[in-house]
Amino acid sequence: MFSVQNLPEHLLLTNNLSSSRSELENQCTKRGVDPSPTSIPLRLEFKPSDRRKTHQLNKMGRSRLQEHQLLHRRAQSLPEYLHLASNDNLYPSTASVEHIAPLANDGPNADLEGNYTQLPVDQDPNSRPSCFRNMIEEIVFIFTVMMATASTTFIQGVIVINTALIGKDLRMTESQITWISAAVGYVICLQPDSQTNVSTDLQVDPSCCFSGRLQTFLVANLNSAMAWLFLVSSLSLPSGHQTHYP
Amino acid sequence: MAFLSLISFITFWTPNPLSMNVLCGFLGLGTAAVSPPAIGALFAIYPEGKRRNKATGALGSGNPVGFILGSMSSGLSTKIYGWRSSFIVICIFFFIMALLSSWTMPILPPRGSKKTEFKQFDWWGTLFVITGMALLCAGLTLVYNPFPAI
Repeated sequence: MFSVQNLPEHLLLTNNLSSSRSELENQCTKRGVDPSPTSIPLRLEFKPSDRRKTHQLNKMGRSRLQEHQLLHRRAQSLPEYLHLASNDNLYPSTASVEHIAPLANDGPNADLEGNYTQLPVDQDPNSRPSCFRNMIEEIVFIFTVMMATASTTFIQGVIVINTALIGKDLRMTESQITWISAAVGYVICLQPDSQTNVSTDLQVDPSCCFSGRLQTFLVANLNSAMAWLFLVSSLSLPSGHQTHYP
Repeated sequence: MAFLSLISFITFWTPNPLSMNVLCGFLGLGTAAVSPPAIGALFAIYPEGKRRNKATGALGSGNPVGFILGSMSSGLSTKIYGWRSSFIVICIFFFIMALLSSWTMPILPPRGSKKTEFKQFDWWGTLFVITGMALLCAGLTLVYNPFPAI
């Protein structure tokens, strides 16, 4: 058992859960404290100005608290507990700033309901996200996202069918015909999410898509600039053969 | 998506090969800009769990579905009205998608400052990648071919 003097009063839980886990565990190991979950009851504190969280906490029912109490006792180690709890959105990475404060002299039977009622449970992860009012909105959203990712292949599908006809109609050279599909396709090979941190950060940082929006936009612009360079080089070809159609 | 819709509408009127290729480049630009924020938003909204897994499954099925939809719609419209009508189909499709996404896409708070993003961006890397690829392509297409038969 440890006392509060042995540990830092607050450990900042950043968006990156893994580093926080290791940080907390390291602190425990360094100070000779057993990093098992039952010896470290955790409390999450909020900024008083965070009214959204307060509102959500007020909505949280008694059963949810009991669930987390069970979870807390069941886990074999601190990392496991944090893992389980993070799966249950106990430490939502959307949070602005939360602090984990290990509390002293509270054993495994600590009265979570009495003392630590501020469990930041946003919602059940398997329920419909609160930003959707009904099932239709959710389905439409998923469909929109699906088609947004499929937009490249959608356009390619259209162009593949029409390449020969367009080439014939506009009397294009071979290189120009090639560039009809290549202009769309070259952007795939440098798809912005492969260059920015969007895809790698998705798992831990939900707002990264918008923080990476500037990067995405810039890379997309630069990709198109590259595509134009290609175009200039190919269209100025003196050796571009005119395809002769019957 | 509105941008894509607009570009495909302009492509409908394209008079010559150069404008056709440039507009296709714009279409590629639009698709590149649309896709990553959409995936990011999906993962931002759904916490880890079964529901996110299902949503990701739908995401994965997007590419083949998109290709099939594109090919079929284009094939039908081309057969009936000619190749230009395919771009009208794209235009209508993305216009509807733009309306739907403006309805359902939730507002997520931005994180970090634009100034930091600007500083963190790999400008040199981007420049070198673009220049390198452009030079490679120029080399492949512009260099004198001593074996014209090949």
